[in-house]
Amino acid sequence: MLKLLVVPYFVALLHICGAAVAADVTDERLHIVIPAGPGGGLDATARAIGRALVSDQEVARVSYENRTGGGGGKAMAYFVESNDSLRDTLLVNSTPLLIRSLQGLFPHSYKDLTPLAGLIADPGVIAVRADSPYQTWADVVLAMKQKPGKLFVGGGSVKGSLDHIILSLLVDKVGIPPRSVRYLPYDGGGKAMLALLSGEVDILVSGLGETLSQQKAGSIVLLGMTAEQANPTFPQVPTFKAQQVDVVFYNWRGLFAPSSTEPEQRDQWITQLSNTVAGEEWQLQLARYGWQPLFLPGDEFVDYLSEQEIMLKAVLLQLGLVR
Amino acid sequence: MLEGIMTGIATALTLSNLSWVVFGCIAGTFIGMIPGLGPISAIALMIPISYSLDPAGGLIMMAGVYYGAVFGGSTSAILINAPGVASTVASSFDGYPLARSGKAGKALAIAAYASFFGGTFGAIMLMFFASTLALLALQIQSPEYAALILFAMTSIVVFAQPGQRFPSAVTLLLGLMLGTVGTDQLGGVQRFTFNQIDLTDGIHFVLLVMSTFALAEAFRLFIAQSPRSEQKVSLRDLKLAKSEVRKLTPVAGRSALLGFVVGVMPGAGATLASFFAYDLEKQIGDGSLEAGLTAPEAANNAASTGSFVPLLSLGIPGSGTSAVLLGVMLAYGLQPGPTLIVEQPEVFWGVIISMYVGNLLLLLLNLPLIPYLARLINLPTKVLLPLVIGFSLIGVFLTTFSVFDLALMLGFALAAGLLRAYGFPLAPLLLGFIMSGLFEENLRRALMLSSGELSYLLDRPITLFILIACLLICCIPLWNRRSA
Repeated sequence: MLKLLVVPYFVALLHICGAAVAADVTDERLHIVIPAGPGGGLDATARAIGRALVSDQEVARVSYENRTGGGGGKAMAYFVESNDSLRDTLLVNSTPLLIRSLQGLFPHSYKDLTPLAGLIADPGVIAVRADSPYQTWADVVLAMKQKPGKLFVGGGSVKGSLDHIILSLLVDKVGIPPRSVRYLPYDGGGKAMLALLSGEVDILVSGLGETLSQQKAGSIVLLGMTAEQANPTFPQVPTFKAQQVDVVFYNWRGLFAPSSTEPEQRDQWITQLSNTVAGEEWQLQLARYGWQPLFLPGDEFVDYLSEQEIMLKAVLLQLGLVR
Repeated sequence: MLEGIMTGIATALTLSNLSWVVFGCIAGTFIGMIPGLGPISAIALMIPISYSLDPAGGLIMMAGVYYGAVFGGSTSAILINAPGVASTVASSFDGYPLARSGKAGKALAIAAYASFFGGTFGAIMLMFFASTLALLALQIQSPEYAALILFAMTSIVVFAQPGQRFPSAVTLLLGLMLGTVGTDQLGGVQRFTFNQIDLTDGIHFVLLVMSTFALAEAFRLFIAQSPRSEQKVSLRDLKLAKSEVRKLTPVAGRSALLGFVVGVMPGAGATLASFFAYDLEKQIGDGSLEAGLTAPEAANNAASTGSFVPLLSLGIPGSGTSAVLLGVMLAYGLQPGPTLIVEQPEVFWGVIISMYVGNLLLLLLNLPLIPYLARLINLPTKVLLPLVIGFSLIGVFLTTFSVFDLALMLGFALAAGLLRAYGFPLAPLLLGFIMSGLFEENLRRALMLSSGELSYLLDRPITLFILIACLLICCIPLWNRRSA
């Protein structure tokens, strides 16, 4: 019995030793603030890039801090307010950062941070049940136009948030006013998926990462994704662009440094991240989670953010959710 | 099926996987005992370790952490009236009085046996009916949830002590009101947050439960200074008399069945299950404290096993905890869902079989600890009270890291103390608070689906059935009065 107990501790100990060995190469430390609870997508992203940075010996040790609350607002407030006193500390964030600061849910925006790099990007998808009468996006659009207000679209977050915005971008492009579409919010993508499977809603708007497993299982069909081009690993999911609906939208996840970061320090971080995303460990992590890479270093990331902010603002205006 | 079970046994009983289930159960049960740290924190803490394991071993460990934490979670509810997670609130109703009345050891033992029963029963059900029951999860939509929660709220008021019905209704409504603070689940609107970022996520459950249960009780003990007899706790307390076993086994049986079925439905599975089981026992059982503790304990353990049904067979997390587990599975490159049983039978069956081992182990692990844990209640008040207060404050601070919340907590504790002093029960307040968001969300969605027609609720047979059941139980007091 006692022996059995010792084994796991021994394994854990080995890992600690492993980290100590890596420390001989570089003694740089990194601390990542995560504006969400453990176990979610942002948390996984932070831990995956952290592992990759350690494994590629860019840094010696990475620690993580989950700061939940205020829909990410608490972590932002902490990060922006303790600006100067933060050493070797980065913040991981995603598209909702832009949405929430546009809606004024917290006083800070990405401009109060130093964007370092976008790491991964999840396109939005529209899904229906495998036995649905609508088997293409064109079918859905036709039905929405013929019977306005009869189709229900489920999504995993509140009105005016990511899923609702993706839906609004798509319907707006085909001439349906976004406000006329019946969007039903659920508490998380999982419950929204259940609502689709149980037939409570006709259509689901979600992220590619959250729906791919059900698509593989054959219980749902993905009618399209808001990616730039089709992915060779799952060619059966068409892009909306290929269906003459010119919507390209990604939920990015990326890393930010405090706004007081010196340019040299910023460049050093970007170099380290560039090396790491090209490395084997990061590729392994991407494959493990089924993430789509979208590496946008430094200024490219800033440009992307400002473009996306303009796009988001336009949709939110249309939905009447910002003034 | 038989082949699957054999695969599972072969996977679960390897030396390394056995040691992982041991490790998971021990870690889970100890973390679960700390007030404020429930299954979800326990699992999150173990994520880094799970990454270094193979999928089957890692999931077996994580599942062990999960039900280990549920198993251990009732300890603080019973001993110091501080249920750390929503699903153990009902265990404190009769568990705490039982412990105060000089039977702390017995209360903990009953909880351990009931948990073991519930967990094992759940594992059996999971083994045989996982794919069948997954269909049940698909039958339950927003109107059914709304009706089910209405039923839970109705029964806590109707089944209160006769003189307590009106006060129960009042505190239930108070709880519902407190639940509206924060960001509106559907529209994203801020309600009663006074532009305080600390309130945008609403009032934290642990905060409310610690202030209304643990702190309010500590204040009461402080004022009352009731003389207490020294309790002697020995290993003999752990043995239940034959008559008691005969009395409690059917209680555990029906509660576990109820718990498992409710647990299968994604949502507030374990919490609803434990409240339902408690209410049911108060109605049809003999009303003893022992039965009142057995019921929610058996139910919440069976329900947490039940929540593996939608996770493993549909790939859909039914609770916050199983959402974290889903994340762990995805990190292994596993695709939970209908294909899991075909593509990764050793994971699917290995996890299920390991649950038998884990539950037995938890029983063996918890029983010898009971005499030591139960001694806590013998501490003099001047030592125990600061401990309770300290634990509650730390429990809240560990979950939210906010000083604002500590101040809020003291305010709630004072208010709760006053409510109690004037004879208002606080359990309905907690139920109202827990169910508030869920009830509103599902009711509003049901109404959106029907364009505001309430009659939509009546078009659905399951909803109609539950609503009629609600009406019927409202008649019970009238009927009792007439016959009396």
